[in-house]
Amino acid sequence: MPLKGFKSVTVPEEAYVLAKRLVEVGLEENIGEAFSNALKEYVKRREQAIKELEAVKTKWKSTLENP
Amino acid sequence: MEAKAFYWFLKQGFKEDEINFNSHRVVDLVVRGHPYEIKKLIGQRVLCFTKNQLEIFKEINPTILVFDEKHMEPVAVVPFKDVQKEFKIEITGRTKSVGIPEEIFALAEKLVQLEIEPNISKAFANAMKEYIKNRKELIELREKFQREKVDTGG
Repeated sequence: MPLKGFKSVTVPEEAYVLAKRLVEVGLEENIGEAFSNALKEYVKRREQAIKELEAVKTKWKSTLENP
Repeated sequence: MEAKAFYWFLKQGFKEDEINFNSHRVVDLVVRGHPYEIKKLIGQRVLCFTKNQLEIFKEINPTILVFDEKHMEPVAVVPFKDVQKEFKIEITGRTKSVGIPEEIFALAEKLVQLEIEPNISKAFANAMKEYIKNRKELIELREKFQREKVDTGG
């Protein structure tokens, strides 16, 4: 059971091995932090696309609610 | 999902000491001697099993508790032998569980909601692939340094 404030995520073993490699060379403190930092960076690199998609979603939602 | 399953069993009238969890066993939990496996619903009807699980579950026929993100109770409780009638089975490789802060998990959920990623697991796996790719040279340098340190005994 994960700790409070945490969620358990199932990842493919090959991704887990990559994270372990980062910990072994001292670039990350632990596996969970490695995945957290990876996802933060992944989201940051897609910031613009996320903003645009959210805008489209909001626009469609309001169009459907107020035709 | 383990917590959801635990509370669901309590609600069904089972006692705490009858609910025996062990994620390192063949099945996730055994309750009054009966094996149960917890599965997360992916999309509308996909459940993932490893090749090994499919072989073993044919023999022991555990009950599959299917949970989704929204509900506290299982969306389906099915004997393994009937699981293919209701769900599409996908075979996955081996997996590992990782504890992730809730705020990061929410970011991954956003990627799925916006259809940038098909599911949470893929979001983290793809993020890790990209993260490693962007640090390839640095990792190789560190590994080289570590090898040299061992070779020189320092």
